Parts: sequence; C-alpha cells; structure tokens
Amino acid sequence: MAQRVFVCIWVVLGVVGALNHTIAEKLLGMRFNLVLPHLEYGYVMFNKNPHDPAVYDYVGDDGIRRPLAELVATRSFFHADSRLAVSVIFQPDYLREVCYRATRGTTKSYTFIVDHYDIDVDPRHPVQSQTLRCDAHGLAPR
Amino acid sequence: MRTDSLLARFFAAFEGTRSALPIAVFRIAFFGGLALHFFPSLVRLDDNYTAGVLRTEEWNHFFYVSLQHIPHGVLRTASIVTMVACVMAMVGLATRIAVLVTGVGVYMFASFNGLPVQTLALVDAWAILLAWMICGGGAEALSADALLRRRRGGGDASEAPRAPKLLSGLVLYQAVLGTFFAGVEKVLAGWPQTNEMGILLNYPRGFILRDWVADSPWLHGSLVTHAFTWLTLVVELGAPLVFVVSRQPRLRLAVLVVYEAFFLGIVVMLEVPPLFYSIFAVGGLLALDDAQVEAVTRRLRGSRLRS
Repeated sequence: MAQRVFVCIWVVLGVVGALNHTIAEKLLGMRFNLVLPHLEYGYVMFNKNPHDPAVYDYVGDDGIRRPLAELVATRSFFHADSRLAVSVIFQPDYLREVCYRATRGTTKSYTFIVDHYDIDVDPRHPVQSQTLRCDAHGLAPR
Repeated sequence: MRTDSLLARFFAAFEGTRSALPIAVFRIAFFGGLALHFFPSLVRLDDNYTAGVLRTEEWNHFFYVSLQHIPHGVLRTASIVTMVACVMAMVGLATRIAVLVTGVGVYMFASFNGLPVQTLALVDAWAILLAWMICGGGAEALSADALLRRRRGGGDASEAPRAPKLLSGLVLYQAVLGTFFAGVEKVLAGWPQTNEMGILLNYPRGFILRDWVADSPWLHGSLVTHAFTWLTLVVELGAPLVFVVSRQPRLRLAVLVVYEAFFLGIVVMLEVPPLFYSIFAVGGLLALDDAQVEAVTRRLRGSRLRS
C-alpha cells in the first residue's frame, strides 16, 4: 500500500510539475514553487529557436581560424560549440571569462571573431562580423 | 470493476519483478552520462567553482551563496568523493550509497555554478537520482554487487537476474514524461503553424548543429524541415502515449524502434550532451518487456558465439 501511495504521489507530482511550466504559466501568468529540484523547470527542448545565432572563433599565433570552444579548458564532450554558445546566452560576459582563462599568466594574445547571422536574411553568410583582441589586458574591440 | 482493472494495469508497471538487464544497462549509461557531463568541471575546480569565477545560479540558492565560504580543500575532497561515487554507481558497487553520494554531489556542484553543466536533461537527472535514492536497486545484473553476491554463493549463476519493477517503472515514466511535455511545449510555442526545424537546420557551422548537417544542403529545404517538424511532434506526443496506454508488445516494439531512431537522430544531428541521450534513449529501452529482452539477449549471445 505504501508503495502504491508513493507511486501515485510521484506520478502526480511529475505531471503537476510539467503543467506548472506550461498550462499554469499560460493561464495564471505565474508558477508555483514545488520545492523539489526536478519540478523547478519545464521540459523545453528547442521549442523557440533564435533567428540570430552567433558563431565564435579565434585566431592564434599560427593564423589559423578555429572554434573558440577549443580555448575553453573545461571540456564539454560532444557538444563544445553549443555549450559555449549557450554559456554566452546565459552570461554575456562569458567571452571575457574565456579570454581571461586562456591568457592568464602568459603573454599570449588571440583574435576573437564573432560572426552574427540572421537566419531570415542569409543563413550561410554572416550579416555582421566583430573582431576582438584578447590578451593579458582583457578583451577589447580591435 | 473496470476501474479496478485499470488501476491494476497502472500499478503493474511498478509492482513485482522483471528482467534486471534493462535497468542495469540504463544504470551504466546514466552514470556514464553523468560522468562525461560533470567530471570535466569537477577536475578543473579553479575554473568553475571558486568565488571569483563567472557563475550562474540555476538550482539551489543556499549552495550557490555558500560556495565562497567553503575552503578549497573541502571542495576538492567533495569533488573527488563525487567522482568516485559516480564511477561506483556506474559499475554497481555499493550502489545505493554510491547513488546517494553522486546525487547530492552533482546537485551541489550544479548549484554552485550552472554555467559549465546547465542542460535541461538535468531536470530528469534530478528526478531519476531522487527516485533511485528512495527505491534503491538497479544493480541486480551487470554490476560488481551482483558479482560479489554470486562469489559469496548467493544466487544461481544460470538464473536470469530479476529486479523490482519500481525503479524501472519510475525511470521510464520520467523519460516519457519529459518527452511528452517537450512535445506539449512545442505545440504551445506554435510549432504546428511554423517551421521551427527550418530555423534549427539552417543554422551555420559552429552553432548547435553538427558540422555534417550544416554542410548538407538537402537537409535545409522546406520539405525536409517541415517533415522533421511534424515528425518531432508526432514522436514526442505519440510515443509516450503508446508506452503508457498500449499493452500490445508488437506495437510497443515498433514505436520503440521509431523513438530510438528519433533520439539517435537528435544526437547525430545536434550538439546535445551525451547525458541527454543516456536518459531519453537508453531510458526508453525500459519499455521492453521480459520476452523482448530475452529475445534480444538470445540474439546477442548467438551473434557472439558465431563470431
């Protein structure tokens, strides 16, 4: 009996948690705090995709252009580029952090290139490119 | 009478025992996924979990603010203990304690800083870890615990190991709940009226798409992307319903094949963390019934013998 009660509570809580982020927010304009960590966010996977992605690259001493994610020392297995892109969305200052970690205690310098795309205009070519200088002094527009 | 039989059918997914192999495979994949996801940041503590680094608060506020008061030595010890526990849970050694320590450890570190580890798969990871802490189990097969038990003379090696259905049922429920509501969120976000996959699949190299997808023009056309949009909705909304409602093995198996192909397609085409795949795709294998598990293992054994 105790197991059945537990299963019922677990199943109902899961559904209530999911509804809390879909129906409740749409109907009531608010979410309830359901305390448990797995009920804190909804199950959102690519439901609204940005039309203006940015791609981050860098150029080092050898002059070769590479994905900026290669400069991040903390590896993200099989999703390095998207981890970097999402981190910048979460924290716009993240590029400065990447620069700081890559150059601290060294005399190295890098050129960061940020290509801004507009999917509705041209998904293959950037509509704007930004070049930044990264060295021990920090990150600054070139 | 009908209510009784419906209730009995509902609880049957969580009561009694079943083949221990699917949950054992899930255990290995899930804790392997957690290891791949968390170990890089747990190894590089200075870059991710010191007071001065750029952080985001995604989970527990208490842990988030307490990071600056925790001495580095304690943090290092906690990270090592978490990693050891995760490996123990993966190999199934002292599994229940290992799951408890892993769960508390990874939740604490994700709360210290969400930036290096944040993914929506964590919502399901917390649910599964919590259920595992409460229910225990998952180490009846393919585990050090099972091996030690057999060495001590407990259990017959020729007998196929069995496991309580409770944990398997809850893990499968979590995987299909996440999949179903991801579909609901998409419907509410207007997917049926738009072509969101047309946006996603047209992203340039270096942003979410795997390079081969960005370099394959045939995947960017309106017809293909519309088809992917609808396929996503049908699988995310339909497969969970079949797993929950249908008791027809053939239908469940056919839907499971489509469901697995769908998640394989996601990881092959999009840059998502392996943890995502280990939860949703490997979790889906728990929909196999005992006869299907037996058929799969017999076939695998046959091909091994032939080779």
